Amino acid sequence: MSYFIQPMKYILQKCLLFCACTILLSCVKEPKTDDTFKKEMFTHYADALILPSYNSYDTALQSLKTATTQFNTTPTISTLTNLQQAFLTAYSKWQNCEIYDRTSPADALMTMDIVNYYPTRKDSVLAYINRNDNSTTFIKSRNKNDKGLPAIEYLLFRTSSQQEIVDSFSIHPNAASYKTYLTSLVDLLIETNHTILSDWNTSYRNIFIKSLSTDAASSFSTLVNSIAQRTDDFKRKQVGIPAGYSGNVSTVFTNPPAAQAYYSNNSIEYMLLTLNNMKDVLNGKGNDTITGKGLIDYIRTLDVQSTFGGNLADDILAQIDVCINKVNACAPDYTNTINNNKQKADDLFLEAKKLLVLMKVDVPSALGVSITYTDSDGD
Amino acid sequence: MATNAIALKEKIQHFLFRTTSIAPLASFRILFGAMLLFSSVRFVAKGWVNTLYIQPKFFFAYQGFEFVKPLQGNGMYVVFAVMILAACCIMLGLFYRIASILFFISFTYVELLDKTNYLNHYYFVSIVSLIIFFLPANKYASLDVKWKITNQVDYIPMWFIFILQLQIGIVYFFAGIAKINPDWLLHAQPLTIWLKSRDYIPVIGFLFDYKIVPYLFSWFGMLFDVSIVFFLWNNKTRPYAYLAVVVFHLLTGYLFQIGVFPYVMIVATWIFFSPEFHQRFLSFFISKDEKSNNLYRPKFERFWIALVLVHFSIQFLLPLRYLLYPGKLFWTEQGYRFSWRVMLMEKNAWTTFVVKDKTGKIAEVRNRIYLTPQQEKQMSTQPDMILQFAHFLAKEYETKYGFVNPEVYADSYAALNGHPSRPFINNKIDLAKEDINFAPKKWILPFENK
Repeated sequence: MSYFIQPMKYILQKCLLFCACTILLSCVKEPKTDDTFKKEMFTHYADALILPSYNSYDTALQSLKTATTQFNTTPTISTLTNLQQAFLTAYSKWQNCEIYDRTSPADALMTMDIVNYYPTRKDSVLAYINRNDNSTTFIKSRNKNDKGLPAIEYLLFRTSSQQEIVDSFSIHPNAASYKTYLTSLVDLLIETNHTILSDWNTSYRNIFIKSLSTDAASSFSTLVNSIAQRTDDFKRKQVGIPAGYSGNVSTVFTNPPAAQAYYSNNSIEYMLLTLNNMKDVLNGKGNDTITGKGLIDYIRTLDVQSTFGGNLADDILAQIDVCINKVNACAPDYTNTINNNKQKADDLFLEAKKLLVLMKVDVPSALGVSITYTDSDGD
Repeated sequence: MATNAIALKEKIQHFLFRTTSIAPLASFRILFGAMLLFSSVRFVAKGWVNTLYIQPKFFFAYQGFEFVKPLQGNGMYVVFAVMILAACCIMLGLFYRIASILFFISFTYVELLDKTNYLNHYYFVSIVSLIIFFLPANKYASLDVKWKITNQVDYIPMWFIFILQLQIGIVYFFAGIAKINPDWLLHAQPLTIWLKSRDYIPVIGFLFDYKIVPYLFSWFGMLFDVSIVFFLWNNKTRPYAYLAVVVFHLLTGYLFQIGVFPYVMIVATWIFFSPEFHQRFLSFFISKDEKSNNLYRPKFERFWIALVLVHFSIQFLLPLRYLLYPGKLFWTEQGYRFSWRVMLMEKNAWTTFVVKDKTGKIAEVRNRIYLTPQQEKQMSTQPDMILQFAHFLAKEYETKYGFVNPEVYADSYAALNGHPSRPFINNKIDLAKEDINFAPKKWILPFENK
């Protein structure tokens, strides 16, 4: 064996020398991030972004509840206008929460299926109301297409005639049923959000800020997955499906009523909210206007190149801006753009897809975070 | 030269056919059996029988093994029950021949069901469980001997032990050779990404924030893999080498999510120890005076040796088959499996499919409807799985949704070892028309290193 051992000894000696030198070298150079960086970042996310977002949505839901009660007691154009306004505020506040859908408290409830599954099955909603059942517990067993913010939106905005809506809650033979359905929808949203908030406040906040790993259940992984999922929903549901880039089986036909906030004609506004919020979340720009450490800062320290050739952190932010511009090009009415100027919707879809590649491939790759939750072995 | 060659041949023959103690083989059987038992029970306890073999609606078959299908109902649990029982019997040396072949069949059957779950150490377990079926590992320190199901044997020809050592040597050596590539040595990838993501762990975690550390790990890992088997083989260096094996594998097992792999290798390398060492270990189970001095020599020994030669020729050639394919191996993964390439890639990809037909029908597929998250992840990064899934989609959309001669296009982006993502599959090619075979896949876009 000596013919082998001798050269190996030589190589090993050289290697050890190399190691010793490099260790000395490395000790001089300070690393850019450490555990403190992550702890600060996650604490900032919990306290300045996530909890304020859910809290502010909660406040909006309380106003929605008040306005609903007022409207149900005295259904008039005035109380309806007030209710519609309260609803739009709540829906816009939700746009800031949806990006945390994969964090444990929201994920455990499958919140998206309770709060914001669209399009609403309007026939099914009306059919149920017309059964005049008036049970208040039915709502939980209803299909995801029949509840949440989109169902409320449908009840409050289904026709442009406000009088017609007031009528269905007052002189319609099933008016009582309309009122019960609406109240139940609002109550379920409040209950859901309370569950999420109490989960965060009682135990999850501590878990979240202390989790420093990149495992499937870690804060890193859930945040990155959450943002990637939000980008996916933006591209597929908010932009794609209405413009004819649709889900499982479809034809080349466009489907504007499948857009988010189709009845209140707020699709574009909510797209902008989604993107601006995404930028704030990545930048760590909290509701308290204090900008703390964000994911983008962490990604920037890794100093990796993106698929576009620039710095990954810069390219992500730039691509969100490109998408914002393309959304603005589709303003003010997404349905109208799809019907009369589809190229603009196509352009938006293409840019949204590029953003999704960054979020789903480049970011997890740079962070060493898995984009799936599966607990499985590698080798 | 001729005399030298003859001398060498004689030396080899002398080495292979010389008589040696059966103790290492019996001792290996006990530990390896225990490890098989542990990993099979762990697999079931993790709920993976359900998530990997009952829940999926679609399975990525190995080419040529399309007929291997999962069992319905509780069938898969029955298979695992057989596997666990067989592992137990191997460990105890009870009904050994039946147990070892049953283990090999049930384990290999499960592995053949879905490429998604391919792991090199599963492949290793399949091979070793087949090899030990042919070896008389139950003829010492076993219940078969104790209960007189078979006669005790004390001596065997050396090649019985050597083939196990050679198999293990091949695993390490090729794993080391595979690490001699620019990504691993010059850019310390994927370790730079992986170690950075582990910088929170106690005591050593802080080191991973330094850029140089992944380089040290990479170079050490390569040298370790390439050389360890020689140090294990040498009497003088063996204790240190085995200590290095234990430390190396426990460390990687602690740092990365690699399941039972570290334990498989720690147990397997046990075979390198001397007969005296194994005899001491076995004295826990068998008293010294139970010696019989029987020698076991197989009938048709030349035939078995020839079979062994065939096996190892395949073992040497299989990891090299990638040379027949153009392009970057890590990118195309043509000839990647069954080659002991471990921990070489951080690859992320996102692949979506569009199905069209001439009548104007078009659909963007949601992979999750058909695939589990793990399947989707693996499929996205591996072209042969992308093609299989595309063929499945063509059939699905034809029969379920009435598409006429569906065309399937993949839109795919992949990022490899810290390089930025880039388009992976040519989205102008109708994958439904591409045959599933071993020919080079021309529809994989090239990976140019800018």
